[in-house]
Amino acid sequence: VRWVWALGSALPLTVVGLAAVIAAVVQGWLALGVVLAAVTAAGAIGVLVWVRLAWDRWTWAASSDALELRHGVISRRASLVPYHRIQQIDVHRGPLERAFGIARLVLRTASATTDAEIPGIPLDRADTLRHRLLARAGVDDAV
Amino acid sequence: MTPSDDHARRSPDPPSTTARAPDADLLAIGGGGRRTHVRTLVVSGGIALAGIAFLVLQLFAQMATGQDPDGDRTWGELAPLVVVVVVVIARPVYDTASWFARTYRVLPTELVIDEGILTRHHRVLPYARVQQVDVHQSLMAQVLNLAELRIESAGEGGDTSMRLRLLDRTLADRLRAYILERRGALQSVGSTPTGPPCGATPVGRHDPTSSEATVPTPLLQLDGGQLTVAALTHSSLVVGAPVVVGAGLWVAATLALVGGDLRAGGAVVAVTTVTILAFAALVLGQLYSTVVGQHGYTIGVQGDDLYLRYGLFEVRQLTIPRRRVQQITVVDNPLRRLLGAVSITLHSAAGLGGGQGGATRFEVPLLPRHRVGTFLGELMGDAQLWRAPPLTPRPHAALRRAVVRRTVVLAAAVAPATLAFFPWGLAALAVAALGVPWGRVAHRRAGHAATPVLVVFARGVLHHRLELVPLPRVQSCRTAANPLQRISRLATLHVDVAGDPHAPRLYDLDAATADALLQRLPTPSSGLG
Repeated sequence: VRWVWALGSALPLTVVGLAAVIAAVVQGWLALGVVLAAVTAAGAIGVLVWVRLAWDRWTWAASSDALELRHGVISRRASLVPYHRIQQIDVHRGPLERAFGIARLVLRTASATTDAEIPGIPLDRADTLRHRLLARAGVDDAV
Repeated sequence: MTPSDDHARRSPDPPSTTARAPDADLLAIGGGGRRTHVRTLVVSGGIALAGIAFLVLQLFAQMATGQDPDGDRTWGELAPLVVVVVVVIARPVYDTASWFARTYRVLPTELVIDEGILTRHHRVLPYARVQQVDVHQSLMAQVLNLAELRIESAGEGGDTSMRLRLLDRTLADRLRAYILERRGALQSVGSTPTGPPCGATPVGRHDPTSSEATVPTPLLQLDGGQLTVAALTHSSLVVGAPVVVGAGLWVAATLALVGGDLRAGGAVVAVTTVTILAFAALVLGQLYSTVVGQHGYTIGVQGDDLYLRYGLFEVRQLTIPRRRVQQITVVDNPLRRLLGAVSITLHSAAGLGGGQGGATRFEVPLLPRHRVGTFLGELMGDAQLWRAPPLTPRPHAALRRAVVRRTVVLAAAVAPATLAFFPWGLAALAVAALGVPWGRVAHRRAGHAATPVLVVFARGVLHHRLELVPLPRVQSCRTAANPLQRISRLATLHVDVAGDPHAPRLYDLDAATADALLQRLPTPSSGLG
């Protein structure tokens, strides 16, 4: 999942940065090109560090009656979602996630403000986990 | 009203095997698809017909003008008008086709609606999932003795409600009673993992065939005088009027001082007049929406349901099961504090199309503060349960943050003026000092409490808000802590409930307390004590 996050964040930044560097060099503004290259490199390194920190702080635990998630680099967030409140579990797979064979589980309750997402689950485990969580979900609309 | 008034169609389903109520024939329970009342077309086509008549008259007038001696007007110039006429005619045709294509079936466990002219939609709403049922009568519907039935289920999108528009008034009332009765019966049979409803001590099972049960017990009725007080002390006036008047007077004073020729031209008088008119519009608008819009306001209990009726031109009857109330908010403002009054809002989990005024909440516009505890007890069925416990204040570190945050915000707001008018502008920095009392009051007002069945948040400086959430209604919990909060060991606690996009929250709780509440509030066992 670190690769997915890193590529998803750093790749667009690097592509735009390199395009700007090439444009500056072609125009003959060598100094500007050097500055842009430095900024792009610093940005890419910053993104990689950020991704590493985000991954380190992304934890989740399935207890007997609730799912607990903790994440966040600057603002640290923690969520607790009881299984019986789960209304729906979506499996999301973007292009990068498909390329790396992982998936993201998004848990939905009757509240639109619930923040519960489990990223980076290997595809073969995602479906199993989804079924295990749904097996513990409520049997009615739970509102 | 007779059953023949609603147009019977094919009967694809076998008859119901459940006991048939005396209203069974009227409701055609388990019967075939039926259409809404044919007079619905009168309502939907009435305005269009008036529009057609107006446009046709205008068309003839244009044609007559087109034949005048100068001969400038031609059929080509009239083409846009013809297009408008065709569009206006198309609307009632479309409405009629939709009416034919739309049928509903009242089954013992669910309501089924089939609709759509080209694309057919088959929608099923199980009674067990009904959040609230409303009977809505517009002025035109009142004249025709019709009503719209709105049935809301939980959710965030627009597809969470079913609307039967329009039924005979008697049929709408009977159908509402039947759906509520079936919902209660089905829920009592099925098990719910959340256990018994919080505070919902049933007054008695609702029976639509009982004349006693169909009459709600009124708990609060507001007359015109009370609604006028509610309008004049509404937050939009308490906050909006000073802003409008203050801005107007400031502009007028500026013009009077530096306007020069403008002053001679009456600009000051014009601005003052506009200010007065804006203030009057604000007051009249609020009076209309409250005194007329909530005319005859009555809230009561009907069986295990809360019942609300209001409106003069648009009459609405809302019904919500007590167990479906997700959150109760008690709010006041400086003017209402002087009068010792508050307003109360009950939030349901219905979709955004339901509830009062298109929202998912019922508002009690005005209530004496000393009656809040008793009223909530009567309304929700358990006085002790809904009595707000003493609040736990926030830690001292939160006071520091409350003062610093507000002082910094005010300083940033006056900084441009300070720089622009330096050195005299430095006097504007005195405004930033207001952040100290502002932060102190905010800190003093904030607090929380958690009983075995309730979580309570209090906050607000101008508007005092008290948010009460039954624990069995908590969907999930969240905490968030930014770096400055982490330095002070503080965190913000959010409690997610269904139906309300703004989760109840309390800023700057002690981090350990917030984490303890995070673990405790949403657990299945917490709300069942």
